Amino acid sequence: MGENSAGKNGFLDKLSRTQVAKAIFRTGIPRDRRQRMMIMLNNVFLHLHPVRLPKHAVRVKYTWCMGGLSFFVFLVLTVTGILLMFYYRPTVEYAYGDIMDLKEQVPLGIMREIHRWSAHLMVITVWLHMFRVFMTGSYKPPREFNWAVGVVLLVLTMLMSFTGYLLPWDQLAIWAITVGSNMAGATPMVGTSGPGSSLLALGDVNFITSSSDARFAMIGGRFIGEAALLRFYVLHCIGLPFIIMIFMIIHFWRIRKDGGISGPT
Amino acid sequence: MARDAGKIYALSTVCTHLGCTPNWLESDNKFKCPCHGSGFYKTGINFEGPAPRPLERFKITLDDDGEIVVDKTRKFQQEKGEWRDPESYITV
Ligand code: HEM
Ligand code: FES
Repeated sequence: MGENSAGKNGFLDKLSRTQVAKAIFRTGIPRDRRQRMMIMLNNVFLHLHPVRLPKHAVRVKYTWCMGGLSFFVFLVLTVTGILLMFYYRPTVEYAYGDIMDLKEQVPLGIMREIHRWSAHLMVITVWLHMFRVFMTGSYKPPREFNWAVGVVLLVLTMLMSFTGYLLPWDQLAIWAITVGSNMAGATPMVGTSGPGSSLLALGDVNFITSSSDARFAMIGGRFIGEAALLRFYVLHCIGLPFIIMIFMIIHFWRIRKDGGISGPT
Repeated sequence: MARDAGKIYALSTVCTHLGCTPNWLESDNKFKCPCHGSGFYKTGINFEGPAPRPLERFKITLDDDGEIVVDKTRKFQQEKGEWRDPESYITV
């Protein structure tokens, strides 16, 4: 082990020169600009962020860090959500009781509170992020497509919120989703109580009935019951997170491809 | 089930706004929906909140033993003039 003229010879330096450390991190403890850059480029997580940033990009006053916070809260939701899945069972028989147990009995049941508060928070941060993007004019070319991707992310965030709302299976949940899904029943053309639904008919046979319309597809029945609970659970835990992650990848990739974060003009 | 002006009729307690369950409030003499506050008179007529039309009534008849029979598959809507249908109430 040779002397390192530039640095100390502490434990960390020794560690960074072991074969294991080199195999994983490639670059040792960074000592100059080039090495610092290499660290960013050689790490899959760090390379999400650009090596160089304009100064204004890290000013909290410019971004409010709302996009970053949205992503952070999303990660918190993912971790706490997975822990909740170990406990919560999405059936009419168990759902409400499991939530009550999480609140009162289960060790680390606080995950449920963290998950719920974070869910509310994410809706707020995503809206604020959209507001700041609008106020800084960052939706203008060449970033107009990323704005559109953002709109998809907003809708997906709201859908996550909506599907999660049913899972505690309490009165608030059931009636909120009754109301929400009845709105789907008023969709033009494809909802039974919506305008134009009677147009989709062949003679006397109506294609859009209360058991074949948009509302039925959403809740798997004509009222909020077992099928709705299962459907919302699967969408909330698997379907929507999967789609939202794909769109986040596109969103982050596009920030870089659109020339990095916008600047004040 | 409600009785008013010599008629007994069966009101559906599905709110005509977005489907919650309005409750009868004795002190206010009205049905009140907990979701967005629609109010209905004893007759089912809407008078406050977002509900766009009166509660629906079910088919109601007396059977041979004089018992009241409610058929929830037949609905009568006030705005279509169906409350005049003799099957939508029984007289007392
Ligand atoms: C799941 C929700 C979202 C996440 C996690 C997210 C994340 C991010 C992050 C981390 C940035 C970097 C700059 C910053 O932190 O402000 C960003 C930029 C941007 N976001 Fe989002 N975002 C989301 C939703 C949205 C929505 C709803 C819109 C608008 C409809 C949007 C439009 C944009 C645009 C146009 C940029 C580029 C801004 C610039 O260059 O200054 N995003 N997003
Ligand atoms: S559902 Fe009754 S007032 Fe909205």
